[in-house]
Amino acid sequence: MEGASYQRFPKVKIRELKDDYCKFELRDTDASMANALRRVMIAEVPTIAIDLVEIEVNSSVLNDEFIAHRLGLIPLTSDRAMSMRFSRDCDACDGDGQCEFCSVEFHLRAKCINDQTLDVTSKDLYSSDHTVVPVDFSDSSSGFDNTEQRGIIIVKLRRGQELRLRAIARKGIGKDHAKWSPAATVTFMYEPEIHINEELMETLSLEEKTSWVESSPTKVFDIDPNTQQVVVVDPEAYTYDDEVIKKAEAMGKPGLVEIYAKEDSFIFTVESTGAIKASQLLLNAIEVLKQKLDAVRLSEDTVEADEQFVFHGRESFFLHSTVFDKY
Amino acid sequence: MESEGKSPVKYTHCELDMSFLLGLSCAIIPFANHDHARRVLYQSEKHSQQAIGFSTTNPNIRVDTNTHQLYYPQRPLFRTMLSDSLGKPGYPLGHNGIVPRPEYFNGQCAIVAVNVHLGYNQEDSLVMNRSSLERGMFRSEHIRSYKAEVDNKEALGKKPKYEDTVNFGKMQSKIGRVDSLDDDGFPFIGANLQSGDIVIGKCAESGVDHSIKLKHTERGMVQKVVLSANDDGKNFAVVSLRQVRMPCLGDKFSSMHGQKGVLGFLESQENFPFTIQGIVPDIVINPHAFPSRQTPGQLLEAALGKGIACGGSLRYATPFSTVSVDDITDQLHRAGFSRWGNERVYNGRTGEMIHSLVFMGPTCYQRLTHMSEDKVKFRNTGPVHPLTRQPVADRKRFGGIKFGEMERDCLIAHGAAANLHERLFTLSDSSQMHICRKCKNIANVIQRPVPGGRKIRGPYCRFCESVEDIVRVNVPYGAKLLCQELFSMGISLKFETEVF
Repeated sequence: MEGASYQRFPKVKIRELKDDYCKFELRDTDASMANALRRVMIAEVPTIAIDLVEIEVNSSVLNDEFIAHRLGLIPLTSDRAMSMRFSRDCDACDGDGQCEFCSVEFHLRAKCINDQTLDVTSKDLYSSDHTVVPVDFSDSSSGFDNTEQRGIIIVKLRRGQELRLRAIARKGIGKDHAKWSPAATVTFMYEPEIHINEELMETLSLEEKTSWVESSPTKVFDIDPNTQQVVVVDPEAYTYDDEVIKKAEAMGKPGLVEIYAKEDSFIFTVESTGAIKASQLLLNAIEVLKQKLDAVRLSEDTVEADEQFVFHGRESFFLHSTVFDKY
Repeated sequence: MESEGKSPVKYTHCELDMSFLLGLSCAIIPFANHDHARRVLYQSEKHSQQAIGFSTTNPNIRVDTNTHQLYYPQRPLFRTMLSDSLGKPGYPLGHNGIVPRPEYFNGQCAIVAVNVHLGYNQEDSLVMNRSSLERGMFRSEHIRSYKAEVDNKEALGKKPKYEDTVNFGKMQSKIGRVDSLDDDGFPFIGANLQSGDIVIGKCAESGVDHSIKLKHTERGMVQKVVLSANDDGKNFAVVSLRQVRMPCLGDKFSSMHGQKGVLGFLESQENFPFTIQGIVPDIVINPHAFPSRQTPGQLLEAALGKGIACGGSLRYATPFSTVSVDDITDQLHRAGFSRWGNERVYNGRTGEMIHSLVFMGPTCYQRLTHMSEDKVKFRNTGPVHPLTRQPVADRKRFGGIKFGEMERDCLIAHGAAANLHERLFTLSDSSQMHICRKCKNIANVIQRPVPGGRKIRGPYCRFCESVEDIVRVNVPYGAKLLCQELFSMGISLKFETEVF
C-alpha cells in the first residue's frame, strides 16, 4: 500500500448565507468528517459568556442564582473569543478573571421607581469592552417586530425593587456548559439519490400515483400535469422517512422507487445563537478541528504509543509462534 | 335523536363532558382513557402530588418547613376540557379579575425519544440531555425553614431565674461554625451555610449552648429570617435556607401516564441522535416501558404534541372525547412528519444514519420530589448503636446501609466466607469475651482480692473459682449481649471452644 494517498479534497458550496443562518453543501468527504465538524460547532467553538456574578443588591422576585443563570445564557458577541485566553491558563492574572486577556466585566444597575413594571433586559448590561456586548437582534433582517424589541429580558421589577450587580464574562466552550455553545442548530443530511422505476410507475393509474405522491409528508414528488408522470421535484425534501417505500409495498409494487443516501455529500444547516456569525462559526470550527489534529500529531504520547504498539506487536507474534510450536 | 312524536324529556341534571366523571388530577391526564387504569391512578394519586411545580403565588412571604418550586414551569401543549373549564386561556386574571388563574400542570414539555441509549435507560431509568438541563430545564428551588423559640420576658410577667433565660445570640459554639452569624444569633441574608454550621444561635445566660445546627445532609443559602411572637409568651425565629438544584443522577421524573423513572445518565447534546431538522431529544426513555404497562396514551400525547408544536389545530386530549388516531396521524402528515411519529435520526457520535426510525415527540414531564441528594447514604466509620454496638441505620445520624439476610445468603452462595466474616463481624460489632474451658461458662472480668492484700482485675470463673484455663474468644457483641440477657433470666449458655 505504499504511496497510496487517501487524501481527499472536500468541496464546500454555500447555498444560503445570513448572519445567523447558513446552508451549505459539503462534498467528497465522509460522515466522520461531516460529523466532526458538527460536533465541534456545537461543543468546541469558543464563545464568551457571563460566568461570575457578584450581586450587590437584589430585591427582585427571582433569587440570586436564578438571575446569575439567566445572565449566563445571554449570548455575547464573541468575535474576539478565538484570540482570547481561557481564564484557567491565563498568565496575566491570578485566575480571578479580571484581566483584559481573559475576561470582560459587565455592570447592571436597575431600579423601578414608578408604578409601571420595569423590564430589566440585556440592554441594561454595560460592558467594559465595546467588542463584547449582548447580542442585539433588533437590527437583524429577521421578520420580528423591531419597535418593541428591547433585548433579552432578565427580570421584571415592580416599584421599589432594585437589581445591582457586577458580572464577569469569560471564554469557554459548549462542552463545559451549554451557555458557551455558539450553535442553536447544527445538522446535516445525506444528499438523497432518487430513482423512480418508470416502467413500474406506468402500471399505476393516475389515482394510485396521486395517493402514492401524497403519501410522502414532504413534497418530494409531484405529478406532471401534462404527461401525468411522476417526477421528482425536490429530492432534498426527502427526510428518509421511508413513507413512500412503505406505501409502494402496501400497494403491491415494491421497488417502485429506490432511494439511496449519497455517502459522500452532505447538506448542512447551521444556525447561530448570534454570538458569532454562522459563517464565522464554520470557519472557527475548522480552525478548532485543525488545532485538535495538530495536537494529536505533535503529542509525544502518540509517538510513544506507536513505539509501544510496535513492541507489543512483536511480542504477540512471538507468543503466537510458541503456541504453534506446542501443537 | 329518533324521538318522533315523543315530547322532549326534561332533564334536571346533565353531564357537560364525559371527562367530568373524573376528578381534577385525573381529568387533566391526556388520553387517560387509552391508559391502563392502574397507570392513571399512579399519575392522579401519586405523581401529581409529588410533581414539583409552581404551587403558590406568594412564595416570598411564606415560611414552609419544606417547599419546592420549578424554575421554568410550562403548560403542556395539549389541552383538556377540564383544565379549560377551570380557567380558559386568554383570561390571565381568572374570572373575578383579581386572583391569577390557577395552573394545574406541574411539568415541562420535553422532547422525548423512545430509544435505547447505550444501555443507560434500562429498567425505567432515563437519559437526559445535559445541555438542556444547563439551559434551565427541570431546575428547581428548594426552601427549608428552621424554627427556634425563646421565652418572652415581658409577656411572661414574672422573671425567671437569671441563669435559665435562653436568648438568641452569637457565641463561640463547640458544636458548629458560627462564622455566618450576626451578633443577634441569626445568619445574614445570602450567607452560604454548609452542613454542620449553626443556623440559629441560641444560648442560656449561664453559657449553655442551645444553638440549632444543620444536619450533615443539609446546606443552603439564607433566603430570609423572620422574627415573631405567639400568644403563649414565646418569641420565635424562622430562618429559611434556599437551594437551587439542577437534575442529577438518581432524581426521579415521570410523564403524566404513570411512567416514572430515575435519571440514569446525563449525555451531552452532540452525542444524541439528531433529526434532519437538527432536533435532539431532551429525554430518552426505554421502549420496554410500554408493552407491559399499557400506556399508549403517552405515545398519543407525544404524537399530538408534535402536531400542535407544528401549528396543528387539533389540541384537545380530553379523556373519553379525544380525537381519533387517524386525525392525529393526518395532522402529523400535514405538518411534514411521518404519520406515526417516527423520525429518521443520525447517530450523534458517528454521523451515520441509524437504520431504524425513532419515535420522538414533545411530552409533558414532571420532576418529582424524590431527589438523590436527599437520599444519598454513605459511611465508612461512624456512630454505633449503644445497646448492640452495631452501626446505626438512620441516614440523619450518618448511619450505614443494612447488610441483610438476602445479602448474607448471596455471599454464602458465593462461598465468600472471608468477605462475609468481615462484613458481619469485623466491620460491625466485633467484640471479645472470656470462656472457662473447664465449665464452659462465660468468665467475667472482675476485680478480686488475692492473698497478700492486693486486688487484681482479670477474667475469673466464678463457677470453678479459678483463673486457670480461661480463653478469650471473638464473638459478635450481639451474641455476647444475648448470652448475658439469657443469663439474667437464669439460662446459662455453654461454649465449646477449640483452638483454631
